[in-house]
Amino acid sequence: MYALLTGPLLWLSLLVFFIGSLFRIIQMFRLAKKEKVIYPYMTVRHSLRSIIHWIVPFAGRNMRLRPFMTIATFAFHLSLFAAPLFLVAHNVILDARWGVSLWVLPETVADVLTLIVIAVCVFFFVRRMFAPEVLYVTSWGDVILLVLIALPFVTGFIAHHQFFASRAVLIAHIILGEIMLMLVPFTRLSHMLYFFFTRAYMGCEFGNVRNSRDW
Amino acid sequence: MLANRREVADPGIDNALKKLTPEKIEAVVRKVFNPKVSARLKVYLDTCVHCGLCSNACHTYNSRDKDPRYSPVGKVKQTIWEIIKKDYKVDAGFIKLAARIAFVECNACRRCSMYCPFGIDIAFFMMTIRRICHLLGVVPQYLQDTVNSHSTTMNQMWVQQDDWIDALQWQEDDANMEVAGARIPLEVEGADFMYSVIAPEPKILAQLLANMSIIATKAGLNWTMPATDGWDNSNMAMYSGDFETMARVEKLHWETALRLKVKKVVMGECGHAFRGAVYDGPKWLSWRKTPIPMVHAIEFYYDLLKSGKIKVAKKFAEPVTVQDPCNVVRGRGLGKKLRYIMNALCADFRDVEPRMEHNYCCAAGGGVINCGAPWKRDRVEGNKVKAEQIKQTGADVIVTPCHNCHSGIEDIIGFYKLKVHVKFISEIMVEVMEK
Amino acid sequence: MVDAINWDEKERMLLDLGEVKGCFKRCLEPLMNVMGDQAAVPVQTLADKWTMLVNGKPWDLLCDRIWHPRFSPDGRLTALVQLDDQWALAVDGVLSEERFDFIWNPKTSPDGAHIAALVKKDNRHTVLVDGKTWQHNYISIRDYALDHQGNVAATVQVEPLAEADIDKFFQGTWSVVYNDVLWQNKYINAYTPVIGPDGRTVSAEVRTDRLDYTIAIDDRAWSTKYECVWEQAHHPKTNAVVAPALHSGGWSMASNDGFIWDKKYAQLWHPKFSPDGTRLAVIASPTFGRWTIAVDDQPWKATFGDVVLDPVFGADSRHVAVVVKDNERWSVAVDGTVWGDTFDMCWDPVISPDGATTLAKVEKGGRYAIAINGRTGGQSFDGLWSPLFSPDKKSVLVKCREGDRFYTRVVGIGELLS
Ligand code: HEM
Ligand code: SF4
Ligand code: SF4
Repeated sequence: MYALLTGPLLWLSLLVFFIGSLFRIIQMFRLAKKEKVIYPYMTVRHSLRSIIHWIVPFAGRNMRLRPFMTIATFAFHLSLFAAPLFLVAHNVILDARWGVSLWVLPETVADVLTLIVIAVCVFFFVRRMFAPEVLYVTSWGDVILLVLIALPFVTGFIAHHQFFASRAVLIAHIILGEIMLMLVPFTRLSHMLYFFFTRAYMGCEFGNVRNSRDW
Repeated sequence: MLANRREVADPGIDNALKKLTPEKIEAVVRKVFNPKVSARLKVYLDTCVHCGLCSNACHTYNSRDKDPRYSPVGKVKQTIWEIIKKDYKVDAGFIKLAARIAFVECNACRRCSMYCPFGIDIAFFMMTIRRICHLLGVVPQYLQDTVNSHSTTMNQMWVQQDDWIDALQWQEDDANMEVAGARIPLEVEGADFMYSVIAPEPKILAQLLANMSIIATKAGLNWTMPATDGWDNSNMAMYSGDFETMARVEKLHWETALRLKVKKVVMGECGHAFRGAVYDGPKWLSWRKTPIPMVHAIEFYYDLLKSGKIKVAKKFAEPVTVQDPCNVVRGRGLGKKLRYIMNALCADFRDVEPRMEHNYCCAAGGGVINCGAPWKRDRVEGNKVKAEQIKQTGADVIVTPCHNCHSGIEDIIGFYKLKVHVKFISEIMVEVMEK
Repeated sequence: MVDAINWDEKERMLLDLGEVKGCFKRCLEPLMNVMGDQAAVPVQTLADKWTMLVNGKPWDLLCDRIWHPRFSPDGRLTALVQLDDQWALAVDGVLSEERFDFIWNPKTSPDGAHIAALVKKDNRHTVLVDGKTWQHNYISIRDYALDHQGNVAATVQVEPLAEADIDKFFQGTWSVVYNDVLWQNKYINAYTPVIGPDGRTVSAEVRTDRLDYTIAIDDRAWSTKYECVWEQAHHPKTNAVVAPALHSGGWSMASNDGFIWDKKYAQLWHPKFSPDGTRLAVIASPTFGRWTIAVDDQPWKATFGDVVLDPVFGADSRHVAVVVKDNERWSVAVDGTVWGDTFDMCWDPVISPDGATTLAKVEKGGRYAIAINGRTGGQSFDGLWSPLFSPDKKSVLVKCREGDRFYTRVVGIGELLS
């Protein structure tokens, strides 16, 4: 089971993730070309200008207006990437399978990052439920997605610390992690892919066309 | 539960709804809202994480006790998402609400695009809804009437050709009394620039034309105005979703400038007209940019003051604040030049907060004021934040380099009983300049 | 007329404004006629009256205001004048018999034989043509056309419209009038009336429904309706009408039977038939943001980013020349090849009768010159009016202003380029 999950199924999930993502991006590029009025207005400079202003914490006015939210989302997204990618256990698998391995995080740091993800997921959930403007636009899908994000981290944390019958939890963790990966191209998680392009386009609309700025 | 919206009767919407069949609605919605042909529609739709971070961008949301139906994404939920949810099988009741949201509750000011982490263009969604409404014949009566004026007379206010020329000659005479030799040169081929304005100038604010004559004469400029249709740079068809009429108006405006062999067009103090003439119109007509440059009044006055062609005799004394018109500040980055002008003309300029690109819309723009009297209360109630913002400056005068802002803020001042007067830049300029 | 030009007279000074300036309070924009035998200036007398100064001699007519002075192609000087709060058309200093509440938009027929203008009487609009006003008047007149026989076709409002009456508007309140005879049908909108070469057929762009545009010929609309149409053109021989039309997001040329071109364009406007009718040139945007000329559905390879103006055919119908603008610079393209030099402004090119030479008035650094096949010589002027080829194609009629002096010269092409 474990071998299957960390072997062919890991392959599969990575494949779905990468090919799916590639497919979505190519599809977007082709559509944008057909729409005709997209590319003629775009420049690299204005694209980068906008992207940078939105991946640097507090660079935009709205981020400054909502400091708590800004810290939470940045902590969340960084941890979301860093924890799984630089986890010792994940890299051991990578090394065993394909002989590659990334730089790894100290275990306690990885633990903290995992807890951040879980905590911010809880915060996001609370916000969804109690901030009227967020609740108004929340659907079941949003909640389920949030749960699906949290679960791999919760189970991973449990498995690592061997709280329960850890074998089953570990299996669940791997399955959930792989599901999450495969969901990226096909759910709202695709915002991860599109972010750079929507930002780039708006950056050019505001910067290149309108001589203004969008942050 | 959220309180129901105030019922508003608008024959342009209500009567048209009676003629719609479910099949007709579905066909039109499918045709216009087709994410398969628009990368923007598709990607914006897929990318939105429903986070609500755009909500505090919108003056209508901020002015209505943070009622989530007025947040940008809330407007998308009630319109675009509903279409998807119902698989395009939306009914006349939906169209009625969608028309209200898109035509009256959104100014297409695009402030929210500066607050959404993804830069999602909510105004574009709303414009898509307006296009659907136009194709279905569901457009607020007064807005439609304005568009009818555009399609018929190529100007916004049914101004007859003779009245146009007459207004210019009469204002030329008026300007002559202030500055000897003042002119409004008509049909001068090969002048340096054509000056274009919006129809309220000849119709109700003719002294603004005399102001231009005084300023241009004093500055020694070589300019002209057309004595044919094509002089009006405004465009409400852009906002009603009637892009064919929008294009016809913009085409004529630019062809008039090309006919006069001018090197650029300078336009009066209006925001949406800049948007129509520089962005939306040319884009529909397949011009990537305008065929010759367009200079907004703010840039024009800035150059005159900066170069010393116009000198200030005695600065305006009363405390003055300013409104940043979305379409030329967020839409052209003229905020700094506007402040240069304010400081050059006024002794006591009090800036607003938030300012420049981040300033709030006047709530009249985006065609909303042209929806007319039935919607006036909704419009001014939807901009309480503007009233508070103006009040905070303690200014007695607010300068609005845009006709929509001018009227919109006058309405706000009246409704919230502020003791402030609204002026155009040119009014202050003519008052304080060396003549 | 052009035939009357004396090509043997090398130079003629028509006016030295410097000599007479002092007699007037103000002199406004000067103009010269096609043949180059008149230079005129609107002037304000010391007694605050306005008149036209022609070759240094003022009209006998003194007015309260004078505007829109234009030479007709046959050399007559027209102007719109105000006297005692009434308006009239002045032709060579002679007033039209009738006075009006207002007069505007004067036009002359291509040979200059006919002159028309729109006039306002009792708050209604009508047409003044060759000194006579139509019997009927209308709520409003917008566009009109005047042909070589003095016929006039105009778009007119035929139904009064109350404020914000959108229902009635969409039932149709506009129509077309031809020589004071109305079409029967009412349209939502009617634009750009054109009179066919036979002097009888009249066409116009019409809006037949909220979303439907098409062309109507003698009050019969084409059966096919389009999302949008632009100004139509009549074939000079067959009188067939074509127009650019938009259908499912693409523009093409349409006729009564639907599209006659195969290609779809991002934009298409201002169709022009060659004089012999064998070719059709249209301003075209083959892809978004690029502009060129399409001749018989074949766009030129060279495209331009800013704008392309109306195509001009040579007399032999073989060559097309056009003013183009790219990267903020103006130039001229002939048969798809753009001139090497660029300018601050270019005026409509003229193709020599043999098609070998194209010239155009151009502006550079605030001075005007004549560019010949893309080259300019050392001669430049403070003012310049439409240059003309001599019948032997060897010289050009140069009508120019140097300082206060107005000259007409016959200059050899070689000399112009040196
Ligand atoms: C460069 C990449 C990314 C950017 C710029 C980005 C940006 C954002 C932003 C602006 C939010 C809104 C915060 C909020 O929800 O209130 C958000 C939320 C979220 N993102 Fe990302 N994100 C990225 C990548 C990812 C990835 C890779 C994942 C997971 C696989 C992810 C999962 C989430 C989740 C679960 C939320 C919470 C949505 C909610 O509020 O329910 N993001 N992201
Ligand atoms: S009014 Fe402005 S801020 Fe509000 S939704 Fe419309 S575009 Fe966005
Ligand atoms: S801020 Fe952007 S992503 Fe978030 S709800 Fe608004 S539009 Fe959607």
